[in-house]
Amino acid sequence: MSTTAPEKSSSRIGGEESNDEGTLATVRRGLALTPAALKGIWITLALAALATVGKVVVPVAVQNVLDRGIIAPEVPDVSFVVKACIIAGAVLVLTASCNVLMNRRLFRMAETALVTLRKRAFRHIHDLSLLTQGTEQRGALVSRVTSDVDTVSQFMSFGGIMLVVMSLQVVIATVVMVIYSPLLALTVWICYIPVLLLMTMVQRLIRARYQRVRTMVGRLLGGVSESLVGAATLRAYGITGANRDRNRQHIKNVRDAQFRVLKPQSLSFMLSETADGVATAVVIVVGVFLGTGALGIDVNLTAGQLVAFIFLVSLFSQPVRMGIEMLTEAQNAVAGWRRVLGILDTPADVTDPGGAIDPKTGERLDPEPDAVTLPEGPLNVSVHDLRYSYPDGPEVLHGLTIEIPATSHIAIVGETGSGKTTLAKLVTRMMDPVSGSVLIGGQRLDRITFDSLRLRVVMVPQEGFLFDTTIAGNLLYGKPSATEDEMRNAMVELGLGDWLDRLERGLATPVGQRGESLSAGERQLVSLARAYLADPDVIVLDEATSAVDPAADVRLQQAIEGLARGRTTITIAHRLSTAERADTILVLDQGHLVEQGTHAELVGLPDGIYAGLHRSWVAHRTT
Amino acid sequence: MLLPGLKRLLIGSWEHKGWFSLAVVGAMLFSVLQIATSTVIGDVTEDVVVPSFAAGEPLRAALASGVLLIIGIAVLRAVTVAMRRALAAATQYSLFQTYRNRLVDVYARVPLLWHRRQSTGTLLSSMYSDVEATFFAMAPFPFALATIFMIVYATVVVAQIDAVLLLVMVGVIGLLIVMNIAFQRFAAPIAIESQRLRAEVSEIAHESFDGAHVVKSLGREDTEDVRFNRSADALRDNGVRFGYVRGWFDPMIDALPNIGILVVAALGAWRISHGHLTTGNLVEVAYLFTLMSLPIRSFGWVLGDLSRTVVGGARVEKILTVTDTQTYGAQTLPPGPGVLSFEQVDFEYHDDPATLVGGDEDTHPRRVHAVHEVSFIADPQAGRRTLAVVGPTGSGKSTIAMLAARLVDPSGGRVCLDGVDLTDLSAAALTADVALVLQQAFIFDDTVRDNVTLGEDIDEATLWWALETAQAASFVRSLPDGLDTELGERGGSLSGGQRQRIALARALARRPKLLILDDATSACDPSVELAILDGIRREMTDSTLLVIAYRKSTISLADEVLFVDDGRIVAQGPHEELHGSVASYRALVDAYEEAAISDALLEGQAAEALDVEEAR
Repeated sequence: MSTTAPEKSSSRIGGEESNDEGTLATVRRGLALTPAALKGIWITLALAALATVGKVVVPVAVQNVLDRGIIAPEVPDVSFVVKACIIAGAVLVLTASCNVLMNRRLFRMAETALVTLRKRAFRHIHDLSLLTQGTEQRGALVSRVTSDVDTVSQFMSFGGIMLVVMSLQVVIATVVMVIYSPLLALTVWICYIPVLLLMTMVQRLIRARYQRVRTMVGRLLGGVSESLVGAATLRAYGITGANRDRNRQHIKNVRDAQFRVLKPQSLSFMLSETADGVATAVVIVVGVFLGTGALGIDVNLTAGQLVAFIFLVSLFSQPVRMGIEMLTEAQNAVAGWRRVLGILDTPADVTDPGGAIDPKTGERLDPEPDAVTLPEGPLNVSVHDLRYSYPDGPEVLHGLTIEIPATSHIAIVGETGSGKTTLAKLVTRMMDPVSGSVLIGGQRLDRITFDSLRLRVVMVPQEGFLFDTTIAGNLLYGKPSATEDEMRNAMVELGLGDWLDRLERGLATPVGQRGESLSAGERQLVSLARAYLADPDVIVLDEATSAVDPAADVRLQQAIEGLARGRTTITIAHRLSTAERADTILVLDQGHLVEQGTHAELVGLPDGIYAGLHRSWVAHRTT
Repeated sequence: MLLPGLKRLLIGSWEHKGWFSLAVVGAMLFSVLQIATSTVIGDVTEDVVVPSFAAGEPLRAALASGVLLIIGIAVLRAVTVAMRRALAAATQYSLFQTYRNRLVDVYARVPLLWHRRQSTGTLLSSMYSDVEATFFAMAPFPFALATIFMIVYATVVVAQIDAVLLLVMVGVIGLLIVMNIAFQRFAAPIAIESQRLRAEVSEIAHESFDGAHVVKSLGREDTEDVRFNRSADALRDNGVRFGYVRGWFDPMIDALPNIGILVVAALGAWRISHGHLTTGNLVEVAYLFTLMSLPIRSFGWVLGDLSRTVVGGARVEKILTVTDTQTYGAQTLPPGPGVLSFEQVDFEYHDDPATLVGGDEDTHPRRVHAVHEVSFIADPQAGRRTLAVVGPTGSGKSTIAMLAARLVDPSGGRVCLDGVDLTDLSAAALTADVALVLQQAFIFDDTVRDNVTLGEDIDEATLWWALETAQAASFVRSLPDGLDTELGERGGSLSGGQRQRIALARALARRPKLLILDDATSACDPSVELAILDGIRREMTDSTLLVIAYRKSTISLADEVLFVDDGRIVAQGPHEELHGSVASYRALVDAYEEAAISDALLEGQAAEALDVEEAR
């Protein structure tokens, strides 16, 4: 393994760096997805406005109390000062209460909007086809529903609130400035306009750089996830060190990406800080010239008013400064937000005609008009001129046509890479073919609602993936309503009763991460039982017993056959014991169907592929 | 919460003290320049603005110099702001890096069994979210520290002016601390729960995406939705709860300096009227309070995030202090025949939930005795070069394979290679001489070449030889970029059998003295498997082989068979011998044959049955 982290952008899921949508567009799109969260936003904004008034009113009041109650009179007017202070204090308490209420509402809004987004993104990842899911590492996918969403929520809970308050404060400060002196107010704005224009450019740069940070975080989590899942292999080959260095490189890439944000970020801080000084200076100059009448315009500006106005400039520039600071932080959130939205933008390529879930609303769409459910009773499968190629790859299935009568047992054999698993995935609609069709029970596969399809057509993949719960918990995935007795019976019927009895905690045995507390064979047993409990009419076994011992395998196969009466069974196997007893054997070779028939018919074919495979099988079996 | 949190931040600051101290310097300069700004504006007002108005025309020269001074200070301030912000961020990012590096170090150093117990999602969550939480408060921290200087400065100034106003000052600071303690008390449990839930969300997401195929094929998207949503909603509710607490804390911290000023004004007026204070003094004090309001708020931000610092820090610490370490000896293996011996080896799996990083509701420690008193010797010189381990599913075979490769250490007895205890071997010696091919081939998200070499310097010829022997050469050649084809995460673009053959080539390319195959060809066609085993026997003449297998052809290649059941060796000897004398062994290995015969009889295909009999 190279120690430099690979630069790959093969992901077909959106929201990466190349996307340069504006900040507001992202925010608008993000919030539009969750209209419910925006309910009562006007109340929130009104509270925010009140809270902000407090931020401006209180300093102004304090200034006045000092000026008029203490500095101006010969002897401080104690009762005026106390009264004024009490009033100012009351305003402060009132506006602070508004602030508290506003915070609560904003927190609630932000968290609600984000949880909706998080849930939709999670769901939509599941609605993407296996193929699209496979273009991004698991860890990176996880980052999109965890760290990316967290980035947004972290920002919302602090920066977002500040941004709202600061924007309002700028508005209110402007209003107050205009009341004092419209000309000077205009002067201040003229000083700030170039800064704000420059700022849009700087912010775009910051956003792009934060986008890279998010991507790098995704890769880091992808890399670490790989080293956690592959812990055994890393240790077996003593490459934990090299792998650690690789992860360190990912970590460094994240840090470097973060460091790259600092330059434009500093630039933006410097701009706003300098603008403050410039605006103050210009206001003094303009004010002095205006007030002394040197410009020939009579504006009635006294020295006292000018001094008060200088104080107002600081009330204006402080929120601008803070606002810009928060806007900078917001770019990070926007980058994360965009990656989450990127998931929702990725079209689900294998959709449920019975009503896919619209990621934009979270609602289930109406069923497509031609959606069908599978007919009652046993199901036949017919495949016509089926072709498939992986994106940017050569064709791997070249026009297969197969008839599988209802309740028959079909074995598919062929060398690895001959297209067996691809066929299995197409027949169970894990993927859609490039051309050709699959009919199940006479219905076009891509028109069958998932409710009906997944209930009655089940594929058991080779890996025997189990969830980190108990055996019973895993069996419930097959049939959520199954009782303990049903589960036990299913195990016994599959000939697994003895195995179960030997486990100290029986069905309650925890299986560990990915089922790794069990052996590979045991995992396959449980995943088979899980599918069996689902009680499908068509069951597709993709080398589902490859790691099971021969005696158990034979028992399983016999059990499946016994139980499978009335079911259509498609078995992919290299243990030809299954094939020997199948009603029909299909032999695939490099994506072509080359032989088809019963064991008796095929085994004698001169130069037949099946005959060859069988010879070596018998040799294996009997040597 | 307050002290441990500050302690952690200070430790972090110390770890990147260069940047951090510069950030603090920046923050302090900034504070000084802020005071200077106000002074200069005051001076300009007094010396330029007022006289100009009095004179009825601008005092141009004085105006110009005053204005330039204001702009000059603003530029200096800009530099210090950038310094404070950028360097604080640099400290923070570097701390993320440091702690993430430490975490991956731990992930790399701990033994396999530790990983088997932990949830991948939780460990990922620590990597990202916990580390971030720990140093989230680092960004405003330098400013907050600089604030302390300002507070001290202000307190000294006020103390010289008036004792009553000093009391107000102290009161404000005291209130700040009290409020913070109250806040921490409410916020800490929520923060703890939040980090736990974050890990849980990550855990469910990781597992669910990992098992996406199963979820799809059983149509359980809705079930997964429910599971994920439950945690996501809990995280949201918790976030809202945190927001509520934070929601009153922040405005109060905001209001505190303002209330201070109002009290100062009221008390000050009273003190002045009694002649204890001058107006100028009062204005100065009020002004100090105004100046302090932003720094005090920044202090509030740091304090507000301290609970997360403590919680995140504790979660990270829990991993960093894991003492389980895969240790190695110092010995290298002397040239020798490659004798593998198990001496009274016992192995017990311990599942103690207390060792779980994420914690677990299930609190039963679990012990599974996987291997009992296993003894055997594979000695090429004594004609036992190839040993097969045979037994029913779940009988402990894989554990024996892992013991032989030292992925796990025995709880009793010892495993030796050429007389050297495996635990005495150095890591390099172990990797060079022992290779294990796991049942479930793990393919890295990398090229074919890198998957075989794993970064080692293996020449092209050896590479192809290994692929050839593993029967992988022909399909690798047909891949679009040959050896340099990217295989995708977990080798997603390959079939199960192809993945196994790449994993096998990986082992062969190292020409190990001891090669362990744990059912490593189960997903290959029988003919391919046969070719692989033939190749290995022909090519790997210097290797001792420990093979876990079910197929009779494989087993019959072995010089000796260990028949295991329930973690014990129940019989040991050449295949023929066991086949003749051990009924349960016969039942296991002959299962397919028996099935074929009974099938043939059932279906009346006597002819084929006869063939089979003859072949025997």
